[in-house]
Amino acid sequence: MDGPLPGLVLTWQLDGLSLLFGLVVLSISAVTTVYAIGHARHHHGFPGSGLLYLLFIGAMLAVVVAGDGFTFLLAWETMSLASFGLVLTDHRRAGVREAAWSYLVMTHTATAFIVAAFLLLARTSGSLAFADWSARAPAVDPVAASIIFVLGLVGFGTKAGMIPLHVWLPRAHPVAPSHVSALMSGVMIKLGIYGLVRLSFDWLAPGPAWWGALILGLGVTSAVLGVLYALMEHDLKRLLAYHSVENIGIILIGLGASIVARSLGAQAAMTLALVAALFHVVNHATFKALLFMGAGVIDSAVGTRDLERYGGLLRRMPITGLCFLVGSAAISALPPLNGFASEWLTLQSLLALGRASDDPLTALLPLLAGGALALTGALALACFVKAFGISFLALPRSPQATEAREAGRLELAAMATLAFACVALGFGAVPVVSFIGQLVPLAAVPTAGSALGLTTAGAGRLFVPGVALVLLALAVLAAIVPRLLGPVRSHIAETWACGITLQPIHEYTATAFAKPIRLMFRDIVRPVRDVGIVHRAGTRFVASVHYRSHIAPVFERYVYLAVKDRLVAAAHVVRRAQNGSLQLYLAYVFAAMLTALLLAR
Amino acid sequence: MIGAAAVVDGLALLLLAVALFSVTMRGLVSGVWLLVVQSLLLAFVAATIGVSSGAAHMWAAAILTLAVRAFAIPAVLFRVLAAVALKRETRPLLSTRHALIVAVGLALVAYLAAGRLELTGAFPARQALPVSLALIFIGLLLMATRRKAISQLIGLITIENGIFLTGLIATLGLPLFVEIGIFFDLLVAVGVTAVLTLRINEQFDTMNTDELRRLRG
Amino acid sequence: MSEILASVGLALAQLGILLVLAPGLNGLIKRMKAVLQGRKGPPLLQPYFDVLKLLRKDSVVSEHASAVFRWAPTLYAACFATAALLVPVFWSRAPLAGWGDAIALVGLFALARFALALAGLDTGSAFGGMGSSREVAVAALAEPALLLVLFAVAWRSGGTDLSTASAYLVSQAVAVVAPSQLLALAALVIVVIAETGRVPADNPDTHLELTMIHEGMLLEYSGRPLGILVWASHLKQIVLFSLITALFFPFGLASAPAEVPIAFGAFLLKLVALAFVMSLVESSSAKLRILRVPELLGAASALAMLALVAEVVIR
Repeated sequence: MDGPLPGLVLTWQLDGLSLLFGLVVLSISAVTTVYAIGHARHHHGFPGSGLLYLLFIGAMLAVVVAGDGFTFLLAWETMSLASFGLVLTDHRRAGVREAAWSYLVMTHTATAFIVAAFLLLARTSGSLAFADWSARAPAVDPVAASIIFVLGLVGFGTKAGMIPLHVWLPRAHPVAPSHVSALMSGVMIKLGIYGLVRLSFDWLAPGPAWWGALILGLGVTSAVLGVLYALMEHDLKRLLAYHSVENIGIILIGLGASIVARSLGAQAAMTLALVAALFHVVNHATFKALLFMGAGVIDSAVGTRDLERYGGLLRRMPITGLCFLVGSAAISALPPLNGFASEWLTLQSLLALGRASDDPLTALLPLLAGGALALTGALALACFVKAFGISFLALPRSPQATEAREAGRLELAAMATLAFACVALGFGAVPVVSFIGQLVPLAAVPTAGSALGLTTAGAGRLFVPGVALVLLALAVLAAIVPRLLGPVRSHIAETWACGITLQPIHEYTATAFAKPIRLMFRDIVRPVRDVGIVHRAGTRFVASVHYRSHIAPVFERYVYLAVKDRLVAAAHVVRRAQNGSLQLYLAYVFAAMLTALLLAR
Repeated sequence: MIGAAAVVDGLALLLLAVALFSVTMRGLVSGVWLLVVQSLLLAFVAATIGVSSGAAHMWAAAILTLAVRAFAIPAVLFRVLAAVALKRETRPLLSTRHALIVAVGLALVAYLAAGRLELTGAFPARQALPVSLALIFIGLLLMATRRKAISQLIGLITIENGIFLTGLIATLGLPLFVEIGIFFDLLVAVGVTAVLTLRINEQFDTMNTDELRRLRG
Repeated sequence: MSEILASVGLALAQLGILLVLAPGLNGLIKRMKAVLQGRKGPPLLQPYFDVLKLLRKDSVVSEHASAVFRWAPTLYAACFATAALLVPVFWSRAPLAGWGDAIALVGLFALARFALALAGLDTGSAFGGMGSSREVAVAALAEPALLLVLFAVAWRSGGTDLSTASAYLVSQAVAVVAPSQLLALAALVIVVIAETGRVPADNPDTHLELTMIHEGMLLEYSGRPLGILVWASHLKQIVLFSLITALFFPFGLASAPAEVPIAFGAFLLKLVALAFVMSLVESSSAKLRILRVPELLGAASALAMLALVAEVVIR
């Protein structure tokens, strides 16, 4: 099909996987656009930012329906540039330009890796068309396949936000306007997953088990480190950005397990793990967009992203609070919501993979990964108790929080839609999983009747509507039965604070809430704390105490800065070859010409 | 009925648990008591193998273990400790948390290395071989990360226990001469260390091996 | 139709029995602890009197509390009541057997914890905040150990379904004394100690702020809501004990109505034995500092990991 320019040929393909990701892009974008229209009065975009926004969505759609390498890369670049522009919306604020710049550099480096992978794939099959790559997948020789895999992993992994390539995420997502963050976190990083799924299942034949083990290991690292760093944050949007890293880790755990299962030939485990990963893609898009919208609403209402300034917002913004509560429960993997269903599926797939392998190492790793997944689930719960509890409950901690106003109707409608979707995806987990299986044949799990789960004897089953129904019924009983003992009244009084009137300063802060976990994991998180005591002049009486605590940026200091320093040092060395002398440059040209002649002989 | 193999398996895992527990202990007296428990468990293993296989020399090994490892050696160590003032490991090279993580990792490596090993003619307790390898690793860990001389001796005896367990399982007990020889060696090692420790403690008022590095030319 | 009626009947019966026995179990542990410590101890039925007294009292609610505070007790109780229906207690198939498994049980516990932790923060009291923050921190470390134990059992029995795991163990009686299962049992006991808030993880008898975890979150509650929360905490304890018996000592489960009295008696015996073990542990150790609790749970994770390794590597 001829594109906009003569000679520019763009091809498209629409298969089940594209349809699935396309549906995710479309639905989340639709809801986010409604939110953006409602939220527009709070931020002043530059002229044309609306158009850029639509271009961004269009580019994302183009990525999933691209049919050959060129179209894909064109759409990919457009998407990256459009999001870069959107991140710069508030470019007059401090820090925004650096964040956008680091995002641009990292995403371009990632694209370079993807281009290299595409070129290697094209070399084997002779064309850039995806259909040809699928057809010629078994013909790729094993060493080249591994190289392509690693290149693609780095490239798509950066876009997805996998550790250690995640550093752009917590910088770019908080400074972008909330509708852009919702799209970036909810949809754009999933396209990295789309690329990885295509690469591993479509364009390359089943490879050695270490491919999947590598993704599994990186997924576990991303999940655990992501949620730990999220717990240490008190900027609400940075917290959510780190949670995106965590959830990408969970998706990668499922994806890695399915790749390992494919290498071992364990069919049942493979389909279960793949459907778990794809289901989590859908779920995460839903609740992450919801949470970012909520964060945006709160940010506009209170005027800051700092959790320590919030408090008591449930009274002032009840519907926002309810939606945020549903989103928090969903991301903490609580029944009967969608986060629980996909995490349940991931755990079952890890167990199935463990039982299906003969080699002790490949059997043990998924089971231990299951333990790590349980850890991240519990830590995510801690983080969202903190986020929701500090923001919405108890007393307001700042005058702005006391005067916060509820969001507009469009924003509330958008959030309520996504909250309802979280509940519906949880209750309707079985139909949704079957639907995914119909779209993606490799992920077609036979559901055991009306419940989730494998049909093997003894395998666990999950029927969310049933559990939810029983839960509701018992809650009703718990509310009604005690009344049989007679009526009681409840009196309103002040909270007991050892006899003094409760002030906001007596409440628990977000930093204090996370302190036990910060101390328990201090070897991994490396908190740094400075305490300075200022005495009254000439005396030993304390006038004030300054307390500063922050997290040492491990990845940036030890990985990125180290690499950057090496590169700069190497560049200095190479620079000596450019000393400005014309004769030397002519000598270079002459030497290059001679070499080329000799080689072409 | 629970077979002898399962009993030996259970005792082996209990040995591993005790060894892991001793990694987390900083008190030297408790460390020696844990050694006593280890030796008692080994004696039980020897007795169980003796009951099920009917070999008489296993009983001799069991009694010897009881006498030497569970009574004599700990008695010597307790006497040494009674003379020493500071009975705790104050600054180990690896903190307790990290040491436990490393020890569990070493146990994992031991299982992966020896778990699928099937020795012909060996007693059919499958857990015992990986556990003995794990004991050797954990003993090495103790020796490498502790400063006090007694702690290093505890590590050495743990290694010895691991080797002994391998000997019990693999060849249904080492020949009695070799066994007695090893016991004698161990006794001499313990005795020399004890005497040296007491002397050094008298002279320098510390058992800390860091301080002993100054005794150079 | 009769099947549905039978299931509902079984569910109500199991829930009723567990609700009735729950405070009694707590009273039994208190009595045993007292005897071990050389005291006389409170009457065996004291927890029943306490709960009934609380349920009949008026409550005082903080003026800063929101709907979360008012609804948390109901949700908390409902979660544990639902979890109680997932475990086979005296009938070989739990009432909700096809609908939820061991992981669903863990999820329900997490939901209860979420509700109560939020309620602890809702009144603005620092005691509640401290209780919530410590509770979620301790739970974060207990969950991996718990899941690894469940995996170690599921490895042998075929899956995470609790009723089939019990049935498998009953059919293969020697499996339960396999050494790796014993390691998993030790790990599970430590996790249950942490989850039920017993010494050495937490002290259930204290109200000093520095030693409270569970009690901190309950501090602002009074009257009927507090009665519901206390009863639900007892229910949590008995459900966890039933989990231990279902996964490791499921002998005596009934498959026909005639066997039910024997199954019930067996269940009571197992509860008494576990209560004795708990009171021994509580009487012989001191409460750990909050920052040492991770070491205890780390030991539980290490044991569970070893159990898994011993299971998987030695086929």
